[in-house]
Amino acid sequence: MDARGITFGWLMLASAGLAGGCQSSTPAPQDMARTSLGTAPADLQLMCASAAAGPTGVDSSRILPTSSAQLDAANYRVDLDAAGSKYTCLIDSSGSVKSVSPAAAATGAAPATAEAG
Amino acid sequence: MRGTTMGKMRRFGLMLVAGSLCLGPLVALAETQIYDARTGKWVDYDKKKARQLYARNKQLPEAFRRQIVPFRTAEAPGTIIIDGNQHFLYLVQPGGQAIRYGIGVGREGFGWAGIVRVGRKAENPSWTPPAEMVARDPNAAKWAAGMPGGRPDNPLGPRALYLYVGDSDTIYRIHGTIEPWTIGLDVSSGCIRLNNEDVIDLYSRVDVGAKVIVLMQGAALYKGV
Repeated sequence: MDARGITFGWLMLASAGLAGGCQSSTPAPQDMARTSLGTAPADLQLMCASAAAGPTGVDSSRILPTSSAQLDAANYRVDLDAAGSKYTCLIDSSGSVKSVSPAAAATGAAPATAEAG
Repeated sequence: MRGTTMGKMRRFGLMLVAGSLCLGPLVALAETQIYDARTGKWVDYDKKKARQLYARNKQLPEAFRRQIVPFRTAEAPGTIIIDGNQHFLYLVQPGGQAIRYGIGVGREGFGWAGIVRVGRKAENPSWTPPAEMVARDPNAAKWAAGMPGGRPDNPLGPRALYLYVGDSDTIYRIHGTIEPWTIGLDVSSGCIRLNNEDVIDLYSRVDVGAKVIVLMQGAALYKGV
């Protein structure tokens, strides 16, 4: 291979790198909004609530996700209120629940029922 | 220009980190961004930007338009899931899907969460402003006894779903709006607003008694749990 061939090869590699790694892709229509909160998708939050019914002994209709956070690229933490008791659920983006465990005592005040003004 | 963009990205990144570390009342700090397909950039989405975009495009940003999305859930079809933080309302459909609508929700201090139900529905609902609104807003005060439904200035729009806990009215509603550009924002006194075409569509698909789950991180109060 002569010098021109080697140069062309490098140019092709560089352009492939630009196309693959540097060009921003257009998100799908359903993904064209985001917030700084970084909460878990709603379906994952509810999957945690359903999964918590067994270990907590509380009917899933009384388990409400109260907060959530993305831990890394593939995992979320979802905080649950199960009839007044606090639990933490770990779930991945495929919907696989990794764990449901009682929350640490210091994770926030219990939600209170109040009248709206 | 580039410095401004970098600054915004850095600020957004810092807020993501803060959001991951502290799960307290972050509603006030939450920022929404939308993808502007025309420029290929993420832009802050606030009241001013929302109004500008609506005036220009005569429709909502793509993310807040009605669409079918994948939705994995054990909840029955017909259940309404409201994600107040992301400004979406999901109506669960069979086959792991949902119809997603863009919504406007309660501003700071007015966000709420809970498990409630559709207690009743109304076409062309009348609107009675709450006493606090009557006290602070002269425009609302003249309708203290109730604004008839069907008027173009009725803030509930053409349809309303009344949310109940058991047999008690929560005073919260899912309704239309006369300010369609506010979809995607934290603007209301706790009601869930959709644009009028969407609330008519939702109304036609939802039965009285339907379960409604409201997710709102940093909620000021909880209902039905």
